Amino acid sequence: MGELWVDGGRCQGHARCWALAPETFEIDEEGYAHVIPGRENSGDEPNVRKAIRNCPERAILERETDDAGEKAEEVSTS
Amino acid sequence: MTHLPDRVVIIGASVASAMLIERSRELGFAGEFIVMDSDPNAPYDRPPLSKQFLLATGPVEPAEWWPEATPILNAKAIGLLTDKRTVLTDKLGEVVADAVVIATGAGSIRLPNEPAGVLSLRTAEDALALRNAVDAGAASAIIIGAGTIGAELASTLAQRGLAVTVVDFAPQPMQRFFSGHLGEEAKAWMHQAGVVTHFGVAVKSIQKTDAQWTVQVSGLDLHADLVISAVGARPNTGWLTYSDLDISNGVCCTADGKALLTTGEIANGIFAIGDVSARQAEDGTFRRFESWTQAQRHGAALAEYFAGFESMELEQAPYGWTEQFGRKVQVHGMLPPAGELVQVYAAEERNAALYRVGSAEEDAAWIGVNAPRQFSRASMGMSLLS
Repeated sequence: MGELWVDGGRCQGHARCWALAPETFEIDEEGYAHVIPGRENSGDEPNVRKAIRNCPERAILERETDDAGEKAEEVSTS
Repeated sequence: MTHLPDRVVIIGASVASAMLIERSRELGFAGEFIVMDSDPNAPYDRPPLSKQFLLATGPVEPAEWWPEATPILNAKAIGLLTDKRTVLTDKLGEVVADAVVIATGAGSIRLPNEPAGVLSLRTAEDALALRNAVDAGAASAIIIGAGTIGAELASTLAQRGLAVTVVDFAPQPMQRFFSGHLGEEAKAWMHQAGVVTHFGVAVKSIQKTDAQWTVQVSGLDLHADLVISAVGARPNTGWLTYSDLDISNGVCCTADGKALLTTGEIANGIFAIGDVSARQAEDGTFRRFESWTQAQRHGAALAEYFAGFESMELEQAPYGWTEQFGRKVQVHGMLPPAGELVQVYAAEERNAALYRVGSAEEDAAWIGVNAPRQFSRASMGMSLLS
């Protein structure tokens, strides 16, 4: 399992992930989601798997941890 | 106990079938999936076709959610022998499997005596034809039908600068999506964008003269460069006409998706998921949900059934959404048509609102407009604060 992140370009603010796994995802006032810092490695948990599957935009992604810094930037600018 | 088939044939490369495959693989299914679809553009995502796609350039993008390792065979199913679990096709001959999954979705309903040239929106090809017509300089459009697709098209075409007129027999936009609620609000969104509306009117005739169309509705002649029919969808079951499945309202199924024969018995090894599938409710009636989320749940639930455990997927309340006129609209639960509508949150500067419909108990239904955070909290049964 890689590190979780939400692609801000794809996320359309359905907030399904937050509804299914509030311990891992947080949303802003517009409904755009991000991974709660410290919860990037929770991708194995059943609620989180479910959130990933149920995202209508397929915006929750996992990536290998070696390029973590770069992608983390991308998330924060979304 | 597991019901794991070795070889599953899926007809339709839909969001429901993608979820069936993905969830099955996740649960360790090692068998074979054979997927066929007659749409040369499959797999693609339908929700953007009435919105982003019409504002963009370029081709329809392949769906992000399709499991890469599963190829899609371009073939059309033309018949089904239920007792032999055999699908008859146009290009692949007879395909035999342990399980047959019907995921053929729904297609546009066309108006009676509809003349050639009236546009519609369901497939990638439909969307491309519409975009080409707009790109070629169409300046006005009449949209027949103000369901979610008709309303989204009105929004997108108005955004592209067309003079848009919407007509519907119903008294308000999205009558079905909102179960009769929020009619005045949804009309106001249209009017603020300059869309002209005629509700509660019947279409008498559609004619083309020279370059213009004339649509005659109760006592009124409307003229435009384009006419788009958006009166709804019907399940794609034509190919099952000569099977012994009960297709009186889509493919009639048990609550968990096992297809039923006209005798009322379960057709062994035959399943239906997504828009084509009508599920038996507790009161014995069959209901179809034309919903992206419900289609996904059908797929996931079937994978879980195959793997032999009790699925909770179908226990979840329905969720649907539409985006139009700068508003993201979300609905949670079954909106009771006679239920009281109470606005519980508003932020006018961003056109945001949250409405509770019906009971204040746990099973209340909710409508959110530009309020995803409040909507999610409410539909989870949480306080709206913070």
